[in-house]
Amino acid sequence: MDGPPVITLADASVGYGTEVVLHGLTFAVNQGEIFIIAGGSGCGKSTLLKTFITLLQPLAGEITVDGTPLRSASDDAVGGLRRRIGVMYQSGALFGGLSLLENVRLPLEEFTSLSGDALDAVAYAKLALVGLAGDANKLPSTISGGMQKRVAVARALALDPPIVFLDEPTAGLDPSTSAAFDEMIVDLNKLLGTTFVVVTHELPSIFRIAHRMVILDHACAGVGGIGSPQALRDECRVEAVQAFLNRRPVRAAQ
Amino acid sequence: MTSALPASACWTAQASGAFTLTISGALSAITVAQLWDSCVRLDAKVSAVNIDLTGVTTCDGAGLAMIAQVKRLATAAGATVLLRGASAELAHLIDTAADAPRPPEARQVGVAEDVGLAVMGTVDTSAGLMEFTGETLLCAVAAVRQPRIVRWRDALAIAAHTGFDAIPVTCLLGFIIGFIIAFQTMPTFQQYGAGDKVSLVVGVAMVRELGPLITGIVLAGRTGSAFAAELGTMVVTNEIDALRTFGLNPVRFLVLPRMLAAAFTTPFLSLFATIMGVLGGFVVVSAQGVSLAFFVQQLQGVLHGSDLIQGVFKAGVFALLVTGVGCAAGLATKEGPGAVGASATRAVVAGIVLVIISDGIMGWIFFMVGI
Repeated sequence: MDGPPVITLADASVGYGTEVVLHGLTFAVNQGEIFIIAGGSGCGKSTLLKTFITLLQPLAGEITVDGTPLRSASDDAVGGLRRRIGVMYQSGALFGGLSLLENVRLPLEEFTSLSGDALDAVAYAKLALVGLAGDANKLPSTISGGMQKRVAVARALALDPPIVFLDEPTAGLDPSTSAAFDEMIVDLNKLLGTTFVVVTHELPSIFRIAHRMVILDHACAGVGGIGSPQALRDECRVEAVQAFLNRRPVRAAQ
Repeated sequence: MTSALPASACWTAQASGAFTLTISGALSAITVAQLWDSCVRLDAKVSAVNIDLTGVTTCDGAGLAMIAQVKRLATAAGATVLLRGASAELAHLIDTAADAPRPPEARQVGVAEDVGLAVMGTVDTSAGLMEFTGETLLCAVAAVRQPRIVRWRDALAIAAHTGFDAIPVTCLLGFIIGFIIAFQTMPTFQQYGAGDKVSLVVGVAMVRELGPLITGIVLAGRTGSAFAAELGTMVVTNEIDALRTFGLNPVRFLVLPRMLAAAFTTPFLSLFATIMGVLGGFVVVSAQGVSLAFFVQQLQGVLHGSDLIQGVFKAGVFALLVTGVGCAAGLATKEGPGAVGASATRAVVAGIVLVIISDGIMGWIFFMVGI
C-alpha cells in the first residue's frame, strides 16, 4: 500500500506518566493499509494503541493521526479526531444496557443528523457487514465473545471513519471464527478503503491480513522491525523479530 | 499415598575451596524438606562446587528449586558450579531457575514518606473530584442552554429506578422512625401532662429534619452505590474508554441523566418519608386518644410552608451530593477484581457523610437567616 501516511510517528515516546514504555518510535502507517502492531506480551502494544486513540498523550516526540498532532492538539481538535477514528476494544466494550442495534446506532444518533428510520437502516447495514443483522435486537450479554467482537467492529465502523483500530480482535477465538474475522477485515479494507491498525500476536492472522507490520522489541523498548511479515521473516536479523515470526523463544544475546 | 523414596545428600570437601555435593534418590517436596538445610549451605571459602546428581532417580519442582538455590548461592559467592550426572533437560531447567533475575528488594517506606504519599493521594483524589465537579457544572450549564443534549430517555428510566422503586423502603423507614420518636418521647411528655404535644415533636422532626435525612441515607445506600458500581463496571469493561474515543463525554452521557433523575425524584421521596413518619407518630398518639383533627390542628400551629420547602430543598441537595459522589467514585474506579466493590463502598460512605454534614450546614444557615 503506497497511500499517503495517515499516522506518523517522529521519534515518539509513549508510556504512563513518567514511565516510558517505548521510545524512539519513527514510522508511518499509510492510507488504506492493514497495519499490524505486534510484539511479545508486555512490550507496549496496547500502550501505543491507547496513545493512537488519544487515551494517552505521547511523552516525547510527535505522533500525528489523520493530520492531528497528538501532543499539541487542542481539546477540540482531539474531539474532532475521535469522530474520525473507530476503535474496537479487546473486550468488545459494548454498552451492556443497549441492544446490538442501539450500540451501533449510538454514534450515529450523536454525530449525524439522520432521522429515526435512516438511523436504523444505517445501523442494520453496519451489522449486516459483520453478519449480525439478524441478531440486532439481542443484548451483548446474550451473544458469544466472537459475535461481540464483530458487533464492536460494526460500531467502530458506524461513522465510516477513515482509520479503524482493532485491539487483539481474534484473541481467544477458535481458529475458524478467527479466520472468518480475518476475512471480514480484508473484505472491509478492500470494500471501504478503511485503514486498519490491528494489535495482535496471532501469527496466522498476521500472515493472512497484514500489508505491513511493526514488531516491537521489549529488549530495546522500541521498534524491532517494520515491513511486510514475509520480508521481516526472510530478511530482518533482529532476534525479537525472528523469534516472534518463527514462533520460538528469544535467544539471549551472545 | 505411597511413602517417599529415600533420598540423601552430602557435602564432601576436596582440594582447597572445592566441594562436592552428592545428591541421590527421589527428590520430591517431602524428601527435599528433609534435605534442604543440609544441602543449601556453603562453606565460606568455597571456590568451586560440583553438584553430582548421578544418583538422582526422580526430581520434581522442589528438587529443582533446591539444586538451583545451591547453584545460585555458590555463583553469588563467586564459585564455579559444575553439574554432573544431570540430563540435559534437568540441567537446562536448573540453569533457568538459578539464573533467573529476582525482583529488587521492596524499598522500605519510612513514616514521613508514607504520610507524604497519603497526602499526595488525598490531593490527587481532591483534584479529581474538583475536575469532576467542574465538568459536571459545565455540562449542566450546557444542558440548560441546549436541553436536547441531555439523554432524557435514559434519565426517565433511571428516575423510575431511583424514585419509583425506592418508594416502599423510604415510606417504611419514615413510618418506623416517626413511630419510634413518638413512642420514645411519649412517657417523658406524659410526666409533664403534655402527652398530646408529642405530635409536635414528630411533626417538626420529620418535616424539617428526618424525612429528608432518611431519604438521603436510603439514596446513598441504594442509588449512590448502584451508580458507582454501574459506572465502575463500565470503566473496567472499557465502555467509558469507548465513549471517550467516540468523542462522547461520559459526564454528559452518564452522569447528567443520573443526577437529574435523582434530583427530580428525591424531593418526592422525602415528602413521602415525611408524611409516613408523621403518620407513624399519629398511630402512637391516637392510642392515647388524640383525634386526627386535633393532631392536624396542632401541626398546623407549628409548621409552615417554609418548613416543608426547607425539607424538599434539603432532599434535592442530598440527591445531587449522593449521586455526584457516587458517579465520581464509579468513574474513578481502578483496575482489579476488588475495584468496583471499593468504589461502591466509597460512594456509600462518602454519600452518607456528605448528607449528614450538608444537613448540619443547611440547618445552621436556615437558622441564621431565620427560616
